Parts: sequence; C-alpha cells; structure tokens
Amino acid sequence: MIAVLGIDALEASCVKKFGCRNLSQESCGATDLSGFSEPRTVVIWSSFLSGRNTEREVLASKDMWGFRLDAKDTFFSAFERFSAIDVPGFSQDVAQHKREREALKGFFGKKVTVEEYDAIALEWHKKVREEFFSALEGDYGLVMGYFDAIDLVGHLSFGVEGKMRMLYDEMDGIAGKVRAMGKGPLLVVSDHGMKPLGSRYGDHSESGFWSLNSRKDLGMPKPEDFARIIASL
Amino acid sequence: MAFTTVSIPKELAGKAKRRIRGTGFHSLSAYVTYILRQVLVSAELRKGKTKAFSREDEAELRKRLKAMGYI
Ligand SMILES: [Zn+2]
Repeated sequence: MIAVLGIDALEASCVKKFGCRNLSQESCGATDLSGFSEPRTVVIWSSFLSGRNTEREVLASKDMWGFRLDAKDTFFSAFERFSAIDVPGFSQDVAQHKREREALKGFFGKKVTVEEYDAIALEWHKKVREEFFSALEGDYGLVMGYFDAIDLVGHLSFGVEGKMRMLYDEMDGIAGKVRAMGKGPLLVVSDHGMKPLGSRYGDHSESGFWSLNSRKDLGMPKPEDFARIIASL
Repeated sequence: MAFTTVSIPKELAGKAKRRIRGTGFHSLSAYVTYILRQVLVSAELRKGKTKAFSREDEAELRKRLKAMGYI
C-alpha cells in the first residue's frame, strides 16, 4: 500500500525548526511552484493528482472550491482500490471547507474569535485523522489523506509559535504512526509552504515540501511530477 | 530528540497510568510529555493573544486571501 499524507501549507523551515523527524523522513526537499501565478490550494492539488498544470481549467471553473477531477484523470486510476480522504479537486467536503472560509470572513467581520476559528479547523482535523487511519487498515492500493489545520490556523496565527509547534507535533505524530505501521511507501507532501505576514499572520509561500520513507533524490519536483513519481514507488 | 528522567510521586503515576488505559498513549512518559506540552502551549497562547492583530497586516492578509480565492 502507498500512503500519501497531504498537508496544506506544511512549511519546510518549520519542519526543521520544530524537529519533526517523521515528517522529514529519509529523503526530503522542496517543490517548484514557478509554473503557477499564485500558490492556490485547489490548483496545486489538482495538478498533483492529474500530472498536468491545471491552473487554467481550475480558474475557468465557476466555483474553484467545487472543482472536481474524474478518477480516470488522476493517478488514483492506476489503483484497483484507493481511498482519497477530503482531497481538494477530487473528494473535498465542500460544505466543511465553505464553513472554514465563512469563519475566516467572520473573523475579519469581528463575528468569530480566533479561538472559534481554530476550533472549526481542529474538529475537522480529528475527523479526517480518524478516517485516514481507518482507511490505512483497509484493503487499498493507495490511501491519501488531506489535512488543512496547519494552513487554516497558520493564516491567523503563524506568529504564535506555541500554536504552530503543537500542530507540527500533531502532524509529526501522524506521520510517525503511519511509518510505524510499515505498510509501504509513504509520501508526505504539501501544496505550498507558509511565510510570516507581519508579526501575527501567515501567507502562502512560493514552494512546497515533499518527503519519502526511502532514500531517493527527487530534486525539486513540480506538483504535476508526482503522478509519475507515485507510479514509480 | 534527547530525553531526560524526571521523578513524580508513585501514587500520581499510578493514577495517570489508570487514566491512559484505552487512549492512544503508549507509555506514561508519552502521556506526561503531552500534558506538559499542553500546559506550556497554553501559557504561550496567553502570550500569543497579546500578539498584535495589526490593522495594516490584516488589510494585507485580506488582500492575499482574496487573491487566492479564500474570501
Ligand atoms: Zn492557505
């Protein structure tokens, strides 16, 4: 079984700073996002899944967050049985992620506190974590889980180190548990990283992160290179 | 990560051991580490609360989030 741990906005410098050995694994590096006009979540994950730069088609669709690829248009089609949990551009829970964006708007409108906003992200995180581990026990050729708490919380609290450290520890624990299960190749991958905006906030940075539980030099792959990389694992 | 040993009363360790049954913690050390982290993080969070939500930064963030389709 191949496991893909997709983490929105996982930032390479934070993985290092917080000493997340399970996230950095045996080989790791940065991804090249120079082919995109902005590091947009749905665009990058759709490119990752399909093996081509989907920026134009995603932006041309009338609702970017509702954009959906067919399984046959993704690397999932190479697997007889796969599980894709909350993956943007494929199986993302539209209502939940709308709730998250509404909470962000609510924060700016002073209707939602940062604690309430964080709680929405963390509750969802727990649900995805549960589904991810239950899928890893199942009979699948590939399981991909998508986790977005680091991105959501980071936008409003990237400068609050304790909060970010706790989230990185949590994701490192998840990676550690998957590694210990020893099911096969584990790819940890992010769409983009995060950089500080002022002393408190966070903005998407221009490069993402990848790691593998084997020694492999992938160089600086583009998101659309991973479909080929996954086929070779 | 390097580790060190700390001493806690036996009775407290016993209580904590009973409490971690059925949870995901694989050892008393893992549980105590978790609790200690929670305490330290909430102390940091209280500090974090005073970390300014500056108006100028907020305007810039809103602009960026709009550009990326979040809001
Ligand atoms: Zn984001």
